[in-house]
Amino acid sequence: MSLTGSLSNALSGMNVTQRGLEILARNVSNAGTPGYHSQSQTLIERSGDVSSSVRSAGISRAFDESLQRHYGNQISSSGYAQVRADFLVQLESFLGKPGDASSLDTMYANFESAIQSMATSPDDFSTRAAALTSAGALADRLNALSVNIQNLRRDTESQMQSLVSGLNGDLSNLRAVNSRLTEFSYDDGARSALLDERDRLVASIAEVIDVNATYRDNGSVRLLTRSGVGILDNQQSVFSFTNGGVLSANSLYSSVSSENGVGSLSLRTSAGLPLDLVGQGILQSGRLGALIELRDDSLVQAQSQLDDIAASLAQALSNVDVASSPATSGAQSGFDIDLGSLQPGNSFVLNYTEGGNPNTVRVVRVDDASLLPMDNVGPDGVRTIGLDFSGGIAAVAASLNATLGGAINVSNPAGSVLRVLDDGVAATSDIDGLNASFTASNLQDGNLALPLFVDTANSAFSNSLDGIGQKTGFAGRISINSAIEQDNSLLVKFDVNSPMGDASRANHIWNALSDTQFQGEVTSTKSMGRNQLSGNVSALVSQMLSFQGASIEKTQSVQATQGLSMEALSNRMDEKYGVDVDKEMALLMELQTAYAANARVMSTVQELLNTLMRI
Amino acid sequence: MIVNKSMFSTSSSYYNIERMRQTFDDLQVQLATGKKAQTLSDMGGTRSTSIDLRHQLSRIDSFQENITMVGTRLDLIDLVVQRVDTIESEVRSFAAADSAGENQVNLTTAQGYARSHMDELINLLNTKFAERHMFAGNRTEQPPVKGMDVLLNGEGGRDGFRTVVSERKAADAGASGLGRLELSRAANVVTIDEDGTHPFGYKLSGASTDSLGVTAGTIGGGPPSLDITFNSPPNVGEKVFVSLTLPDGSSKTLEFSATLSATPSAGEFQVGATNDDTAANFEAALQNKLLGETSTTLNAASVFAAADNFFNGNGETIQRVDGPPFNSATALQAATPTDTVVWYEGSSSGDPRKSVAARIADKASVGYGVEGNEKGFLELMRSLASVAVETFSLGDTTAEARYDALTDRQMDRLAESNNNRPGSVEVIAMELGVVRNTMGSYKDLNNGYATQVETVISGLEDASLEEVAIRIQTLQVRLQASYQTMSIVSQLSLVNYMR
Repeated sequence: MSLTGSLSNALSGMNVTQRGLEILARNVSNAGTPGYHSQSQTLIERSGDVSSSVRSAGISRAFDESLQRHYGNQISSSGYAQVRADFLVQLESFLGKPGDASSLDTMYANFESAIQSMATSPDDFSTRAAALTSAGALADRLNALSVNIQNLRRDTESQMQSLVSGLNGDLSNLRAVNSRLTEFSYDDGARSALLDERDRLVASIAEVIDVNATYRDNGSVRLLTRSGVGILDNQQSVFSFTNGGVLSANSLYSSVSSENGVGSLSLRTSAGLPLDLVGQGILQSGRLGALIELRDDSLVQAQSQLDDIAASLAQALSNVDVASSPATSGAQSGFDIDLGSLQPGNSFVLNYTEGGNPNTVRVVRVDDASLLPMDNVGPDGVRTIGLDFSGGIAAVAASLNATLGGAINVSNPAGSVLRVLDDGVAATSDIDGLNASFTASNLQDGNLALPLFVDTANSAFSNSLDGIGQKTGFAGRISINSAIEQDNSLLVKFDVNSPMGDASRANHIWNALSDTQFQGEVTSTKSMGRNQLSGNVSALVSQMLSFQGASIEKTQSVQATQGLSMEALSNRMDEKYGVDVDKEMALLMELQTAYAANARVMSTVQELLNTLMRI
Repeated sequence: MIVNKSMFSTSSSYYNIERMRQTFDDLQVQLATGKKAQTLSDMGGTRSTSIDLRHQLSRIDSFQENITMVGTRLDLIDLVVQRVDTIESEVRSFAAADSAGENQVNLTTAQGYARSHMDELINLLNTKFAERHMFAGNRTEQPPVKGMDVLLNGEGGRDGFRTVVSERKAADAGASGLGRLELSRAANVVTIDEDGTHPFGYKLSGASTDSLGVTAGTIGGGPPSLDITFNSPPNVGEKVFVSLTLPDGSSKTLEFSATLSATPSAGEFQVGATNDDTAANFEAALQNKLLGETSTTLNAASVFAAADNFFNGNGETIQRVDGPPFNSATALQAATPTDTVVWYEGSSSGDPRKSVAARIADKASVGYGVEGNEKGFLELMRSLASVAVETFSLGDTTAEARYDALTDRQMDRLAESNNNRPGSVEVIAMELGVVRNTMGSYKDLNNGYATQVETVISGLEDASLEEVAIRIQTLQVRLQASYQTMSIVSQLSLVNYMR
C-alpha cells in the first residue's frame, strides 16, 4: 500500500463525509416539512489493487410502498368521513337539539298545545291568533329547514366544483412529475425532492377520490380508482363538473341527462371515453364520494322526511272521510261509495276476504299516465293500485274489476258512485269494508276538516303523485292558508252559522293530529329502500329527529375512528420517514470525527510525503 | 386539505393533549348547562325517548292550562249561579202567599221589584269573562239575552213580551170576557160550551155536585161541552162544582152553593120556583163568576201562558197568538225573528253541560257549558217577567186578586221542590261542582304524571354534577401531567448538549 493510496482513501473518506453532511443538513432543515422523506447515504467500499477507498452509492429515500398504499386508502376514507361529518354537523345545528325553542319537536308540541288552548277558548281572538302563529312558525320552520338542506346540497356542488379543478391540477402536476421521473438526468437529491412531490400529489388526489397507486421502478406512479377506472398512466384523465345551479328539492340525480336536475360529474379518460361518475358509482370514497353521497342520498332523505312531516300535517287536518253505504244485488252484497270529491292523490281503501284470506287494496287517483300502471304491495301487505279517475268512475270500476279478479265485482251504478260486491252464491269472497277520503278545499262547507296547511298559491295539498309528486319538496312550500290568516275565526267556524264557542273544529284538529296514522307509501320503486316514517304526526317528527340524530352520531363516530387510524398511520410514517434530529446530531458528530480523522490521515500522509521529498 | 399538511410535523402526544383539551371543554359545558348532551347527536340512544317524553310533558302542560282556565271560568259561573239562587229565594219570599202587604204596599212595589230583579238576572246571564259569554252555551260571542226593555217592549218592529201578553190575554178572555166559554140554557139544562177547538181560555175539565136534584153531565163533543141539569130544587147549601183548566195548566174549580136569598153573593145561586128558574139563576151566577175569574185568575194564567210561549226553553219555539183578531183566535203560531224579539240567542241543547267541553287528560274531558235557557233560569225569568209586565194600581179592584193569582203561580214555579229537576239552578251548581271535583283530581293526576316524566327526562338528560366534577378533576391531573412531560421531553434534545 502506497502513500498515495492512503491519500486517495482519505480523500474519498472526506468526500463522502461532505456528501453526508450535505444530506444531514437537508434532513435537519426539512425536519418539519410535511411530506419530506428522510434521506440517507449508502456507502460502499471500493477496493482496488493498492487502495480500499469508500464511495457513495447514492442517496436512498425512506419509502415503504405498502405503507404508502395503506396511507392512500386511509386518506380517502378520512376525507370521506370528514366531509360527511362537516355537512351533517351543519344539518344538526339546523335541526337543533330536541327541547330547544327552534327544534321541530318543540315547535310541533307548541302547535299542539296552542290547538288545545283554542279548543278551550275558541272564542278568544288572541288564543286563535296564537294557534295560527304557532302553525305558521311550524310551517316556517319546515320551510327554513328545507332551504337549509337545499343550501347544503348546493354547497356540496360548489365544493365539488373546486375539488374537481384542484384534482385536475394535481393530476397534471403528477403527470409532469411522472415524466420528469423517467428522465435520469437528475441527481439523487433532486430526484428525492421529485418523489416527495409525487407522494404529496398522490395523497392530495387520494383525499378527493379513492385511488390505488401503483409505483413503477423508475419512480413514476399509475393511478386507478378503487373501482378500476384508470385515471393516470402516461396520459391523464380529465374530470369535469357542471354546476347544477340553485338546487331545489325537485332537483334530483338521474342518469338520463334530460331528467337530471343536479350538476353532472364526469370523467373523460385518456382514451377519450366519457364516464358518468355518479351514475356508474365509480367514486366510493374520498371527499368527492362523500359529497355525491350527501347530495344524492343523505340530504335528499332528510328532505323527504321533512316532506313526509309537512304532508302528514297538511293531510291530517284536511282529510275528510267518506262513508260507504251497504249495497246488495241478488245474493251479492257489498258497499256503495261516492268518489266524486276525490282529487289526484286521494284514495279509497277496500277490505275484502277472498278464500279466507283478508286483503287490503288502496286505490289512489293517479291521472298522470306516465306513472301507470301502478300496482305494488307494501311491506305492510297493503296493495296500492293507481288508477286514472279523469275518465270517470265507470272506467275506474271497469279497470278495478278486471284487476281484482272474478270474485270481486266492481261496477258504477250511477254518477260517481262505485259499487263493490262479493260473488254472492259462490260465497268465496266477502266485502268487509270500503272507505274513501278526500282533501277538503273549502273552509266553511260544514266539514270539520280544513286546509290549514296549503301548497303554493293556497292550493290544497292532496299528495298527488302526478308528475314528480306533490309531496316532493312540500316542506319547502308549506304555508298557512291565507284566508285563515285574514280571518282566524275560520279555525272555529266550520259553518257560516256555527257559534264562536264551538270547539268541534279545534277538537277535530287535535284529534286528527294525534290519531291520524301515516304510513310510508309504496307508490313507486323509487320510494322503496328508504327509511320510512310511520305513525301520527308527532311520531313522524320524533322518528325524523331520531333517525337524523342517529345518522349524524354514526357519522361522527366514524370520523373519530378514521381520525384515530389516520393518527396511528401518521405516527408510523413519522417513524419511518421522519427526521430524527437526535439521530442526525449523533451522525453529525460521527461525520465531524470522520472528517477530522480523514484530514489527520491526509496531513500525516503529507508530512510523510514531505519527509520523503526532503530526503 | 388538512390531512396532508400535518403529515409528520406534529407528534402524537400533541394529538392526545388536544383530545383531552376537547373533553375538558365538553365537561365544562356540561357543568355550565347541567345537560349531558348539547346536540342532537350527543343524545345517543335516549334521543327518541326524550323527544316522546317532552311531547307528553307539553301535552300535560296544555291540559293543566285547560284546567286552570276552566277553573277560573267555573269560579265566575259559580258566583253567578249563587246570585241567581239568591234572587230566586228573594223572589219566593216576596211572593209568599197573601203578601199584598200592609196597605197593599207590596202591590205597588211588586212591579218595580220584579223589574229590578229581572234586570239583574239578565245582566247575570250576560256575564262576560274575557270576551266570552259564560251563559250562552257555545255561542259565546254575543250576549245571550236581550236587555229588559227590549224584552218587554220590543225593538225595531219586533214585538216584546208585553204585546205577546196582551194578545194572549185577549185570546184567553174572548170577546165576551167569559174566557172563551159560551153559556146557554134550554129549560132546566145549562150548557157550557167551549167556543171552538183552540188552546185559549178555560178548558172544561169536569163538573160535579153533591145535590141529588142536580145532574152534572160529562164532557163531550168537540168542541167540548158540559150540561148541568136541574131536575129538582137543590137543598140550601148543596153545591155544584165546575172545574176548569187554565191556559198555564193550572186548574180552578168554581163552586156554587144553592141559596134561597134573592140577592145571592158571588158563588151562590138562588133556588128558583121552577127547575127552569133555578137553571137560569145558576147560569147568571156562573156568568158572573166567570167574568170575575177572567179578569183575575185567567188574567194571571194568561200572563204565565204567554211567558211560557215567549220565553222558550230548549226544543221549544216562540209562539204567539195567531191574529188579529185575537179575541177569537183559534191557534198559536210560531213567531218569526222578524216579528218577535227572541229572548235567548245562545246555544241550546239537550245536555247544556256538553255544549262546552275542555280536555283535561288524553282521554278525559269535562263539560262545563251553561245555557241561559235552562229550566232554572227560564222559570225565574218567566215569573219575573210575568210580574214585571203587570201593573197593579191601588184603584184597580182586581189588582189584589190578580196579584195573588200571579204570586201563587210564581211560588209554585219557584218552589224548592223543583230543585231536583234537571236544569234547576241547584242542579246546575251541583253538576258544576262535580266538574270542579273531577278537574281537581285530574289536576293532581297530571301533576304527578308530569313530575314522573320530568324525573325520567332529567335522568336521561341531566349530567350528574358530582360525576362531571370528578371527571374534570381527573382530567385536569392527566392534562397537567401531559403538559409537564411534554415540556420536559421537548427540552431533551441532543442539540442542547453539543458544543
